[in-house]
Amino acid sequence: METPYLSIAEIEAKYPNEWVLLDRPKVNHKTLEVLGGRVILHCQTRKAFDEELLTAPRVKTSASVYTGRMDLDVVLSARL
Amino acid sequence: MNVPFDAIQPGIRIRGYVAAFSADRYVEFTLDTGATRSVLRPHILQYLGCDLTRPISTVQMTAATGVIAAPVFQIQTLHALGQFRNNFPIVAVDLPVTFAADGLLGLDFFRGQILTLDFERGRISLYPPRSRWWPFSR
Repeated sequence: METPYLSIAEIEAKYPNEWVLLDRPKVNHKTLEVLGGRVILHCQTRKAFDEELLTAPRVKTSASVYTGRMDLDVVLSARL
Repeated sequence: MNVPFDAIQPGIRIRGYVAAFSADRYVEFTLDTGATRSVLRPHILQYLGCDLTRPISTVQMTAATGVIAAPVFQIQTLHALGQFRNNFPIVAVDLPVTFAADGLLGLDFFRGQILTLDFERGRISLYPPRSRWWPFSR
């Protein structure tokens, strides 16, 4: 069953501090900011999100959004 | 093009668009000028239809845990900060689960361009070299 379209404000209120996968996202095509979409997956951790991605419904165009803030100080640099 | 960013957060989040294999995705990158190559999490590439067993090459990656061989895949389009890269090589690396991004936007995306970070105003810009050198209006 198709989930209803939600605005990004509604998604952030409903799934705070979660990773959310959206189907047919509405996007500002200049800034690429996600304005809303239909939630097909939401998880509280990135580990669970990545695991559930493998079995999530395949859609043509999707968007991943993190509804929280980047809380941790990150020292992440890859010399490749 | 210049876009706002939250200068208070520990990292600089940049929205991007990736078209690859059989699908496309709007993703969240973190700017990493210490990374020579751009990176996406393998699960995302897999969702987009990538066969993770068939990279176009591998690179030696020096990380905190040591040196590992990381697979490289070619994606059709990478779009961020108003610029497009076609047939762009991207490295598949499992980033820490506590890291709030889908991938890293590294130096290979920015080379040859003028990248400007204005932490006072919270603006990031990326322009080709022929445009006016100062991207922010006074």
